[in-house]
Amino acid sequence: MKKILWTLVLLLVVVAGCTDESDNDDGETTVEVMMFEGGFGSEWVKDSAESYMEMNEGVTIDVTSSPDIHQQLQTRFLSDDVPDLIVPGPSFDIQGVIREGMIAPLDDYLDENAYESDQAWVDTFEEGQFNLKKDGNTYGIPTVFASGYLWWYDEKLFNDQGWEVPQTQEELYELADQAEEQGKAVFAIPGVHPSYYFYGIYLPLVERFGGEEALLNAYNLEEGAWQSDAILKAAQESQKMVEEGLFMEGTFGINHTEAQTFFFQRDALFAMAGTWLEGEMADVIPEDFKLRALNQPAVANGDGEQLAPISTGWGGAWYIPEDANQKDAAIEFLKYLSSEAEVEKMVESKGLASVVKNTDDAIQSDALASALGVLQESSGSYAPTAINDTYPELAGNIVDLYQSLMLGDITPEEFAEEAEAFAEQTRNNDNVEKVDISW
Amino acid sequence: MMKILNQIRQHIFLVIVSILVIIPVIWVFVNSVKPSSEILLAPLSFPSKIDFGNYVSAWSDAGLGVGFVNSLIVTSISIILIVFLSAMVAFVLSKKQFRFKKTIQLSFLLGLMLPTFLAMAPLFLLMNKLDLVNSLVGLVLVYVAYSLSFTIFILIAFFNQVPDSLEEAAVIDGCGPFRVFWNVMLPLVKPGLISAAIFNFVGIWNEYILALILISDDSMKTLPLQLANIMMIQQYHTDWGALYAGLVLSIIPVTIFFLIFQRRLIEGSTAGSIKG
Amino acid sequence: MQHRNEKWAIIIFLLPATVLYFLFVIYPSIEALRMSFYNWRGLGTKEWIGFDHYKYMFVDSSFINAFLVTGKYILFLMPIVLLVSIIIALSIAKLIRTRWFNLYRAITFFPYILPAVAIAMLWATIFNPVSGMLNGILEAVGLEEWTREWLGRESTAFGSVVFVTAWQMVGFYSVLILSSILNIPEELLEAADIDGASRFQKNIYVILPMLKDILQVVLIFTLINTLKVFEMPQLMTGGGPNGSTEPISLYMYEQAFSNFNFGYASAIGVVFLILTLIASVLTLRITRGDRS
Repeated sequence: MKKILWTLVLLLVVVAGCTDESDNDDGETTVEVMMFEGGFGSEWVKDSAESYMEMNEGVTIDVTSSPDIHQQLQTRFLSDDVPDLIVPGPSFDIQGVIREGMIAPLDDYLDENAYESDQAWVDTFEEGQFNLKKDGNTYGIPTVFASGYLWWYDEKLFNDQGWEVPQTQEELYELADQAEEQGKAVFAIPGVHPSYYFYGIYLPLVERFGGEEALLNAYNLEEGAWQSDAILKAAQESQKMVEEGLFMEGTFGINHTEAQTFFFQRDALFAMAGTWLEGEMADVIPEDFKLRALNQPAVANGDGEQLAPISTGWGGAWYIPEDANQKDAAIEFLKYLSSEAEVEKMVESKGLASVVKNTDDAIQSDALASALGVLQESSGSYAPTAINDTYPELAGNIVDLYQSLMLGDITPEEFAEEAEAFAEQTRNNDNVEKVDISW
Repeated sequence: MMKILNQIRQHIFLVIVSILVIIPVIWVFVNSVKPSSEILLAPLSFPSKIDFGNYVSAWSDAGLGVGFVNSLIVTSISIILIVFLSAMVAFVLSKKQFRFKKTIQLSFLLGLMLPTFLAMAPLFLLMNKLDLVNSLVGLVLVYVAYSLSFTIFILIAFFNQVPDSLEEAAVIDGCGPFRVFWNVMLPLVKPGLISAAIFNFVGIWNEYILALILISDDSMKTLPLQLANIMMIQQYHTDWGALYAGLVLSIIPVTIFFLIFQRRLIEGSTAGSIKG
Repeated sequence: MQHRNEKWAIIIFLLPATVLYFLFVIYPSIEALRMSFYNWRGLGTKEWIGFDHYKYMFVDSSFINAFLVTGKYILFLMPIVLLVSIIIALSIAKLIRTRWFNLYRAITFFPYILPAVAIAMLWATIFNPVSGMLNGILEAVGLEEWTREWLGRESTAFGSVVFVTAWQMVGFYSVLILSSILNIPEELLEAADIDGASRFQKNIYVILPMLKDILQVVLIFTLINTLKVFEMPQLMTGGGPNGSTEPISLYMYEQAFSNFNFGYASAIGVVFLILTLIASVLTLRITRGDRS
């Protein structure tokens, strides 16, 4: 009996010991960084943290990264024990946290000098991508450049076959016939993650049909906006794409890394993803693969402006919690992380593009350069994912509807009708705060 | 001839059932020693070479090793506490008469009906307030609390079988209530204690939902959480092999446990529910 | 003296378990009821909104969907699990006193002890349309037109999840029923043999009536466990496609821990409890009524 009790007590002590967080109070500063780890990885931050610690004795940068970091963050915010610097990722309700005043506005810091420079920090960023503002205050600082969902193709394959990149939906259907002769499908898409093809196919089609106005009306929950002509036509066009057999067999039951593997095996002509694609799939990209981006094709008789998709990037940016213990130290590290030298290293080694000025030249990846090219060549940009930032539940519901449409379970008319019903549900729900979406 | 036909008829259904159980496990095992690229592109083929690298990456990179240790700690401590605390309550409820006996009995009975889901959100907030989120101690306490009802009612059945005369004899010999419990009662209900321990082992070792709610820190995750985590991570990388290796690693311990305690598990499960 | 001593002993015996139980099981359940009247995202202020959450359930199409899906799970799982378990139990019972008995019993029981997470992931890989075993086998035996995106389409996703849940549950109930069969007095079965009953007649008229009690237990267990189905849909389909496999439990989890609507999630929890109670009582009633 005694033995058992003692073991028990001992075990409890051991376990309790595990959970104790030891705090060093001997002049050491620990900056706790918690970041989302997606296709961009987290090595570029960890590398910079290493070099920063070597230069600054007494400062420890502790980086935690995980694909489900949002769960850990939620717990930390609830218990008022926040980390010092965060990248929340796509699943965290960062706007809600900002609304509650739990994220520090960064405008004052941005007016300070940049890392080892006379230039104001804010001037070191490309302006176009720097719009994570609420009520006039800037809260988030993006460092990695993220495009919206673009289409990607293999230039080598197209050259070998003598194919042209499709400029219109008509050309796309012609290309489909040629691809079929080669036993290839046009798209390999992650069927079980419908947001890929909702943001990569559907919303661009809405833009092509009705311009950004159609999208903005829908995003701002205007009555009837989800049943507009553009919404309906885009749904009909999507249905047609399925009926014309543009999608790879089995593609509606696989996830995105699987779909992308088929794309890189040249079983399909296009994949849709953001700029993280190359880094995410590095292991399986053949050496002679020439990954290039293209903007989605136009439609006949459309009113759209052929805008290029950008990511609003709320989830991928850096934030500093209002109650962080080491705000200043976190700012210093963030300045270092976003300094030209560090960003160039990141751009070179990880194949990521950045929103920090003068780092374009360091881009060694042709794929990334082509994605930037899409943006530069278009007449303007729009942010399809903005609806997910503001009304995540609504966006999720409509994305699910779109999946049903693509699976042939509902008609385009039903899609529009039910989407409008979801929008109405959100419009009438006083517990959801309404925001004026624009880009 | 007739006899063979008869035999086939008797076995065919059970053979189909057995195949449905065994083949998936074999499939996972074969894939776990395949290189990642072959898993996606040549799913049904046998591995071109046997490669245990997947296990290494599942165990260390994907954190299954950490999960294994955490699960071991949490499960063993929880079981000891559950069995011990439940036995104390079951003993009193079975053998003693006192004022609030009915109330206490009923409130524990209520625990059998309350779905864990009901209190998901408040439980999380309570644990958060007590600073027991992301803590193995917190997880142990919750596991113990949620296993009490079930274990108490199994054990009451065993205590009821012990004749009262034995306790009376011990009291006459001058044993206090604690000695009676420890020296007389516990040895007599040992089979019950062991059954309870085995059942709680399976339940807690495999538990997912409470852990999912209460643990988000990677270093505190239990085995099922780490396993589910592999699936998450796998979506962002192309290391499919680790997923299968992780599955095998999570199946092996319970299988060994099952082989050892098979009899008791199977017979105990039926005994408990019929009596209860 | 002896008496007071005994009183203290009883208190000491009861105290630790009772404290844990009331703190971590009873208190959160009561708190759920209270929280269901507030709008609260876990951060910031709580706002008293009365019955708004409960009213919202009637217009929340996702909740209504989850509610119906849960009903569908019950409708399919209860009869399937019951029927398959009975057949397995009867088949194994016939082999008693052969070397096959223990083997089959162990194999059938085996899935029950595996972690639900592992089972869900295991079958998710089998159902994978391109790298999965199921489509692979279908292609290999020339049934290509049968291959499909099992978990990706509404027509098959629900059935697949039901299948895997049954795969996990059946073993336990088979063994439960089996042990009841073995408890049936031999004389009864012998008497039936003498009367010249066929095997089928013996099963229906002699064995099944003897199993009423245990079948009632099985029904209630299946019902409660079906209401709690969580891992399978969460890990296999994420509740999709378009919510077709999403039960209340998963919807509630998402409301609480993805959308952080703690108040609304609590209200769903309260409804969930009421449903569980109603379902249990109903099952008891129906099976009891059957008996009289």
